[in-house]
Parts: sequence; C-alpha cells; structure tokens
Amino acid sequence: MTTTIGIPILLGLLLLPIYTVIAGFLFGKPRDFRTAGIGLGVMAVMAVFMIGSTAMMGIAFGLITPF
Amino acid sequence: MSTTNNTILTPLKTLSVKFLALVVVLGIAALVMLEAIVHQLQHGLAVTDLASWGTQEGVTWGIYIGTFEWFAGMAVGALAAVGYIRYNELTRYDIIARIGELWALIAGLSAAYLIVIDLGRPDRVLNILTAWFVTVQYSPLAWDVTFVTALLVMTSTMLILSLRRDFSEMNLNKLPVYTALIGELLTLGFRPEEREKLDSMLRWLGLALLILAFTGGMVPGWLLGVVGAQAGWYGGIAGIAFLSAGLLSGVAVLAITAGVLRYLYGMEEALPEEVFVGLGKALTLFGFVYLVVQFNNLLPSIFPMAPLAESQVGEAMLYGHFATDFWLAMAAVAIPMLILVLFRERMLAGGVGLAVVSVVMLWGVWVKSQLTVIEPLMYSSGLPYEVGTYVPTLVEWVITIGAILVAILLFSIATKLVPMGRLLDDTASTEEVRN
Repeated sequence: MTTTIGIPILLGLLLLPIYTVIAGFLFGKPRDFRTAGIGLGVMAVMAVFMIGSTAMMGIAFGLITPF
Repeated sequence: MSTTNNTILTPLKTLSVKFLALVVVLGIAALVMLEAIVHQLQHGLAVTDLASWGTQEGVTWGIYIGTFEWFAGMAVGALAAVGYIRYNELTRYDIIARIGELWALIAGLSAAYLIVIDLGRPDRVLNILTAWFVTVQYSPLAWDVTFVTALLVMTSTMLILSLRRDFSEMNLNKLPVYTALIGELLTLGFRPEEREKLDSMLRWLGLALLILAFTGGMVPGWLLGVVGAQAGWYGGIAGIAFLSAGLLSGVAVLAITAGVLRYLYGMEEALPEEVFVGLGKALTLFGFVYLVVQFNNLLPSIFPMAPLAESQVGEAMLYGHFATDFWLAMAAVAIPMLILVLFRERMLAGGVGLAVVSVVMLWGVWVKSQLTVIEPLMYSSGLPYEVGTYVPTLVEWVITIGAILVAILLFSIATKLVPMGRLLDDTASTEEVRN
C-alpha cells in the first residue's frame, strides 16, 4: 500500500497548484498567450534553476569533501 | 489610482550608516557560520550532539531539523498571506505581499539549506535527486523535497511577475542604477497591453499559492506524523499542527518586517494603520488556532488511557523535563494573543507594538518546533532504553543562529534592490514614459 500512496499525493495534491497556474494563465481572461507564455516560461526557468543549482551544489560539495 | 504611497521607494533611495553597520554585523555572523560549516564538513556530524536513537541514547534530529520546520512553516504562512492578498487584489496590502514574497523565498531557501546541513555530507543531496523517481512513490521526505521545490519555484515566479508589473509602472530613471538594471531585465519585451493579463495572472498565481499552502503545506508535518514507531510524532494531526504553526509564524514575520520598515523609513502612507489592524486580527486568529491545535495534539498523550510511551512524552512536555520550555513557548503565543485581543487598536497605532508581540510569538513557535522534533526522540517506544539526552553543541548553535541572521541579511539587502510595492500615484506619468 505504501508504494501506491505516493503517486496520488504527487499528481493529485502536490502538483495541484501547478495545474491551477497552467490552466489559469492559458485560459483565464483576458486571453493573451504571449504574456501567459512569458509567465510559464519564467516558472519553467525557475524550476530548472532550483533543481539545477541544487545538483551543482551537490557536485561541488562532492569535489571539495575528501571522503 | 490616486492614493499616494511615494514612501514605498524610500528604502531604495536611502543608504544610512546604521544600515551599513547592520550589514557588516550580519556579514560577520555569516562568516562565522561559514567557518562552523567548514568545521562540520571536515569532521562530520560528530561535531554535533546528534546520535543514534536507542543504544547511544541520543536523538537523530536536533535543532537543524527543528529550525527547518520553523523556517518551512514561516515560508508556508508567508506564501499563504501573499496568495490571499494577490488573489483578492487587496491593494492596501500590496507592500505586505512584496514582503511576503521575499520572506517566503528566503525562508524556503533557509529551510532547504538546513536540510542540506543536516545531511552531514551535502554531496548526498545528489542521491535525493537521482532517487526521487522511486522515493516519491512512498517517502514523505521525497514529497517534502517536491513541496519545498514547488514553493521556491512558485514564490520566485510570483516575485518576478509582480515585479515586472510594478517596474512597468515606474520611471526607471528615477531609481538607483542597480534597481533600474533589475527593472530593465524584468520588463524585457514589456507591452502596455500586457498589464491587464499580468493582473489576471497574479490572481491565478495567488490562488495557486493558497492551494499550495493548504495542501503541500502540511507535508513537513507528515514527516513526523507518519512515523508509527515514534510516540509523540505519530498521529493524524501532525500536518495540521505544522500548518497552524506556519500560518502564525509567517504572518508574524510579515508584521515584524512591516513594523520595522514603517518605523525606520517613516512609511506611514504606504503602511497605514489599517494594515496593522488587519495583520493584528490575523495574528490573533492564528494564535488562537495554534493553541487549540496544540491542546488537541497533547490531550490524548496525557489521558490515562494513553500508551506508555505516549504518556512519557506528554508528561515530560507538560510536567517534566521540558515543562519550562513548553510552558514558556505556550505563554509566548498565548499572552501576545490576549494582548492583541484586549489592546489591539491602541498598541497597533505605530506598528512597533505589533512587531514586538510578533517577535515574542515567533520565538514561542521556534521553541515549540524544537520540542516537537527533538523531545519524542528521547523516549524509546516499547524498548528498554534509557531516556536519551541532547544538548546542541556550539557548532549547531552557530550554524542555526547563523541561518536566521543570514536570512535577515538577505532580506535587508533585498530592500535596497527591489521596490517594496506598487507605486500608485505615479501611474499616469510613467505610462507616458513607458509608452
């Protein structure tokens, strides 16, 4: 059972705000796909930046820690 | 758009000796913390008082995780406030939303930072990332990593898009050169007809932040609540307990910041009394809810039918080893809450009174966060071990207090880089400039 609870929590709960933003930006009035695209682009870039910088930090610490 | 709030730019345009002194002092604190981190990296978690549960009679999580819970809660509370303000377009509270965006981001980063510190070997953060696709199927820790990442991504998106709108309404030539550069970057490709859509998008983002706060915002509580073998942690109220603490500490940090900004920069127009009355009402409500949840959390453990390990944890908290800390923490929330109920209008006049009671409440929540994480670990459930001990070492104190001081440093610097809100009275003239 424990291995099945994570996916509903991820897709049904944790990602709910992301769905809200995507739907709201694209289909909320006034319709303006350019501005919506800029907003979603900012969010995508920040996601890549947050995950990427965490990975880079892990790699950097791996290089400087002598064990 | 006739409201005057020119003072919103005052922090940007002034640079006093006192401010520079503050930055220097906090900068020195950051360097001392850095030295402690290097020390911990060289010698490992042996420099802390953390030890295995059971035979080593220690605790596995200490003030790093306790303070993580406090920072994560603060981020949740701050983003809930931002979401509420942006979704309902509460123009009067615009400056509170900006303060909240900055604090949610800084508190979220501080929480993530303390988790990395607690790993002992920070390079193991790569394991968290590479194993995520498997662990997210069953591990609350993986859900927590997902939640904190979502929090940081959505808060930074809110900050960037709201700044894009605010900068588009300002004459960048009147701002300090570094702020103007940030403004130029964030308004790249801006078109005036974009503004209405940006308003709508900020509302949607506000709704999403509210959803995130009240759903994902419970996850750090589940880290404790799902551990069936640990008395004092296990139970269905852990997520709600975390959320109630977060709402209180998040709003408290906004109230402190607003009070300090108003006092230091004379921002009476930008931060009118009604804003502090609103924040005071929110603090009163969240303080009350926090105490009710704490009562519900503790009652089963001190009732005569409680399992032995549960009653040991509850009794140590209420009457035993931790009673002083516990009751001081509860008093630090309850007394300010009663003061707010009884004297709200009078003491809120300048914002300073609200800032003072908020500091006390924030301290109370911090102490209780430590007790929530650490105290149950000292009591083994159903095993014949001695009661564990934990006394944070100097390294732990330096890193933990350093994290708090660095957060204050980051916010202080941010007040000199970005406007604290939307400039309301200058719209017509700046629209001409932008067009």
